[in-house]
Amino acid sequence: MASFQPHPEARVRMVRTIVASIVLPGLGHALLGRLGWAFFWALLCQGLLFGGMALAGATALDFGQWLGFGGARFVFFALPEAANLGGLQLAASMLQSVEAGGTTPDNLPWRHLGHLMTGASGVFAALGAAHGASCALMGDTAKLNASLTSSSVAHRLSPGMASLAALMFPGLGHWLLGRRFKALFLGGIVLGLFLFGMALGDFADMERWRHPWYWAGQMLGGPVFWLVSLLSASQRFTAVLPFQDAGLLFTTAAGMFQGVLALDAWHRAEEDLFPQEPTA
Amino acid sequence: MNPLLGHVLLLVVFSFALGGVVSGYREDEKTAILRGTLRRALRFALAVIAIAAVVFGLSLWLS
Repeated sequence: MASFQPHPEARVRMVRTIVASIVLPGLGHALLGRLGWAFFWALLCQGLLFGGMALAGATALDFGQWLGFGGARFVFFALPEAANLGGLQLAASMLQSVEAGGTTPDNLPWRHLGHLMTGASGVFAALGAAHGASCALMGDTAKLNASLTSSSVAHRLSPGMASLAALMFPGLGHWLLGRRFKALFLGGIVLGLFLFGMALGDFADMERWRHPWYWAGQMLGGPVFWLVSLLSASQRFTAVLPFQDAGLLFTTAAGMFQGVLALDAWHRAEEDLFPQEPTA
Repeated sequence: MNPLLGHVLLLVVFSFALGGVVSGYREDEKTAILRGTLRRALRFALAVIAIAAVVFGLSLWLS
């Protein structure tokens, strides 16, 4: 099997792309000259953030805070929106929560969807950064290794697309990489743990107002988790359930495990692109 | 359900989920993943049970 190596400067370019993409989703792609992707990530992340803020009366800002020093405000921090750093700073500077931190409660019919959208903007921004890094890696690789044209790179799933697929549905990234057992095994664990945890909490445990830190972890689960949360938006804890805490732990752990799956999908896709020579 | 039995069952479920994900991350072959899952799940569950036993013993001693 041929052994290919990434461009020596590719890693540096990848880090630069990740930093730029976190500062402003799409910026990393723009610096690489991938303008189509740049517009896509910028529109997706900022559309979700500002659309969600509009639907939920900017109450997402009640779950973050300004960080600073000596009375000066430097950066607004909220999880998971902080991965869309530039958009969040703009939103925090321009908007004010209609509930002013909970002091003026309001009836917001689209609150749940709004919070899911702002949270999704952060998760997608992180994935956009990973995709940008992948573009940097693949672009440099293709340039340097003329042999990696149609038969190798072009027909393989890029690490960025693999991790994006892993986020879209648990196990999908591994499935597309040809690792069917891992896809079913790991995807089954993540989905099973999440649904079991939701059942333990009477399908009311993905709620930002009650558990903002758990919610940030649950949001890492991707669109399937968000959809289940949206469908169960009307559910509330009506009593203290016997295994409610375990339900919260399981759903949050499932979200974080989904992050591990995305990382593994990236790693395996990169491993397929740059297979190591067997050592004697 | 008896709360203690319920918690033990939940510990078993979580241990296998954790063991599975960690093994899936570290290994790439089916047999290695399955073996690793069993080994890591047992280790994690036993560690939690050992800590629980120590805490229970301390609570008896201090009360």
